[in-house]
Amino acid sequence: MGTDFHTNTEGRKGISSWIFSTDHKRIGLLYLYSILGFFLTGVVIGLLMRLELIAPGKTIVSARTYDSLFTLHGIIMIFFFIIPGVPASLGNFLLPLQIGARDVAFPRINLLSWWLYMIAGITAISTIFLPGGPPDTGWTFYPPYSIRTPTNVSVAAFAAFIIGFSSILTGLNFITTIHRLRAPGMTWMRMPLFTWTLYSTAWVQILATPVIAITLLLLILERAFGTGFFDPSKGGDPLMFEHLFWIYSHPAVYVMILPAMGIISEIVPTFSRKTVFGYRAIVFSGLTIATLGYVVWGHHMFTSGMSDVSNMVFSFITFAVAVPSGIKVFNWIATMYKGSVEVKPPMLYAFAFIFLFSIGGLTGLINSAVATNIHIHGTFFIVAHFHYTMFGGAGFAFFAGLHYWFPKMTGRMYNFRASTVACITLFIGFNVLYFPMFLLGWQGMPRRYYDYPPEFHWNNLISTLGSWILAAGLLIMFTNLARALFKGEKAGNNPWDGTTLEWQTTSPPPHENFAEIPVVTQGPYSRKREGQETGDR
Amino acid sequence: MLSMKEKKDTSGTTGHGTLIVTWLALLFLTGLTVWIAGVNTDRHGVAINIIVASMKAGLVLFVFMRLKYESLFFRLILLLIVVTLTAIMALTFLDVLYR
Amino acid sequence: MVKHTDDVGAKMGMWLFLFTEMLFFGGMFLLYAVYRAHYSADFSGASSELNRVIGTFNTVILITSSFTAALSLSEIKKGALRSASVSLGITALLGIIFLIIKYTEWSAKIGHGIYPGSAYFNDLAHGKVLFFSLYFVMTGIHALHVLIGIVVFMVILFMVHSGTVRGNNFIKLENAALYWHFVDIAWIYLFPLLYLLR
Repeated sequence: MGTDFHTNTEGRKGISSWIFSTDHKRIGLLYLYSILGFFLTGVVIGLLMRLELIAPGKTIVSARTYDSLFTLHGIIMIFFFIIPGVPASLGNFLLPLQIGARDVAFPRINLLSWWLYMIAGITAISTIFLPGGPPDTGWTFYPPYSIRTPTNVSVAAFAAFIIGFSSILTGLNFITTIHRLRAPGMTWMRMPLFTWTLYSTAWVQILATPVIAITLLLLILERAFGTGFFDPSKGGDPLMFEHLFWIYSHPAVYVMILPAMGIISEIVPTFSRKTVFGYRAIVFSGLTIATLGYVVWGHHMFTSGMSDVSNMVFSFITFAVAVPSGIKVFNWIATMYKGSVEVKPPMLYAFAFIFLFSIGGLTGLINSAVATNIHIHGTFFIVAHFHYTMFGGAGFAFFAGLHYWFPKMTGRMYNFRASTVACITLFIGFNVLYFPMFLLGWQGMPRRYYDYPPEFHWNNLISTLGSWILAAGLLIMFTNLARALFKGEKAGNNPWDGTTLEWQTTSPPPHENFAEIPVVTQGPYSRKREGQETGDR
Repeated sequence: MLSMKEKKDTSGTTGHGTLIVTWLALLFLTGLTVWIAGVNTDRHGVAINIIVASMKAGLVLFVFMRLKYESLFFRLILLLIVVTLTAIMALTFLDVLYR
Repeated sequence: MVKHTDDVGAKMGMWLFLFTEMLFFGGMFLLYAVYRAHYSADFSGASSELNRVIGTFNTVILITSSFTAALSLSEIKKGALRSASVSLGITALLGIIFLIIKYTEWSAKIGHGIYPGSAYFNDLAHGKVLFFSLYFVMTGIHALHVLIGIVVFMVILFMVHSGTVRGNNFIKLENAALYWHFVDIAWIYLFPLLYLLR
């Protein structure tokens, strides 16, 4: 058992020991590297967009290119970074470790889902090089424009269709794993909270993804054969596309944020040296968010000409989502209260998450009121709001998780000072980049425009400067992690004194995770150890 | 998760008699639904046809697919799917009917 | 390598997959429901242009194939490999017959110029355009599922002969049968919606 999963290649050589491995840890890392690759691609496109907006008028790209840029930025960031981001990379790596299993339930299907992910990614990127060029519809593919445009909408939609399969396979794999492979004594109410959120997420993936699959397929058939489903000139209703699209794409928001909340729920008790406050409340609020999140899709369509009745109903349910989200924030803060809080890098990223996500969540309430929504719909206010939740929320939690589990995944430790500098730079850059967008949106600057009148110049300029600070922060963070990968000090098996099962095996874990499957006798964050009476705070 | 009794049942065998009776019932219901559609062309036709189809689907699910013998979890997720589809339909019709 | 031989887990995975399939078809049923509510007269008119006899016949074929699939599972659990193979073969054969009938039905419609994109088709009333588009897409996607099922049964048949699938290791056959029953259920709903409701 002496070898860890990095050295045990299962008899394969070189790269094929990775891309054909069915070890969930190797697949998790494959996902991690591919996801980071797409993330950086998306970042570069985002920086180009900000550069175009640095001054009124044409700066570096034409209007048409700008349309393609924001479409690609959306498709890549949403479908290839933030949706699979946490579950497929960190989730894949940690789920079996946290429940005391040797692997996921279907290791080969796990590998297949990575392959589908890569095929989808390459298909999406290929639209740049195909005649006709990348799609210019925005990542939402709204008809009737998406039916008429000559750009490669069908290819991009097909890529999203394939990645849907990948997402479904990951979801059913995780659900089956959690139901069938928990270690002896690991009851449902002893599962770590990250695993719980992966479970809620997996259900959302299973219940929502098939709907986008059929929607995109219908869009492709519409473009290929003129079936008329979404084409008003043939009697179809474009609003039905919006319904079907958001029936998936709103729950997908919770696929992004729920596991992020799970990461924070792991980090906060570890660095507060306390058991988590309100374990059951966090579990059930997660399930409630998943349930309510499924039935609020209409709030994306308040200005689309939906009936007033559904505007009111969707607005009401949307407000309700704030309740379980608030419960989680209060639980994290109550966990820190009277704890002995240690501000190590993962905790610092978690602080950033709680702050940024709260801003994102509270501005969400402004959006969910129909009256204000009509004022800010389709403006930069929305762009700011979803970047605060998706990037400030899910993205920062992803970085937090990356720093928290980096020593477990690699067996090495990064430089604390550099990662602290990186986190502060990212935090400043993030706010300088996105906060002015709230103001721009409130003043009425529409999103998805490559040009603007001169009175919006100042805020755009500040925002573009922020994008450079953010990029510098990313550079410091990734350089620090990359350096640690090769030159970092040995981290030891449990550098943070974590209590969940993944910290009880070696770092990096051996091929089948545990020399002997552990028997669980207490809750995930209990600090009572055997033969030790005190310490449970 | 599963009690001993359920564990034994899930791997059991459905008898030929049960399968044949179910098959005949499905054929009968098919005949029934075609007959109803022939004589009844008013609005109630939709509801009746959907009900008969659901009865047929139920027979396939519970006998052929052995849902009757599976653990509660499988039936619960079927319920979850039905509830989900109903919720989607209901919320969409809130828009379509009142637009 | 630890061999995972968790049959209940494998079956759970299959069920979860089938539930995603139900939602996949659910999206099309939603469109059908909305457009039927909007264009009920056109839907009735278009539906009466479909051949009820052919539809009914295909329903009987598919229900029977579902029955033989269930039969083959019961047989293999008893260790009766030969009769299990025969049932499997009949199931696949019935699937092929279903597809042949579907093909002739489609050909007839296309021969009359009724297919998405044709000049005749685009001049039809809006409700009829949507009905026939739904007809082609729904039955087309269903037929694709039937085709996949037939291929899967062929593979399982081969596995029974090579001894991979046998009396004490039948989960592959069981999952294939579950999939096939789902394909049957999808048709059980498609049949009244497309052929019967007028």
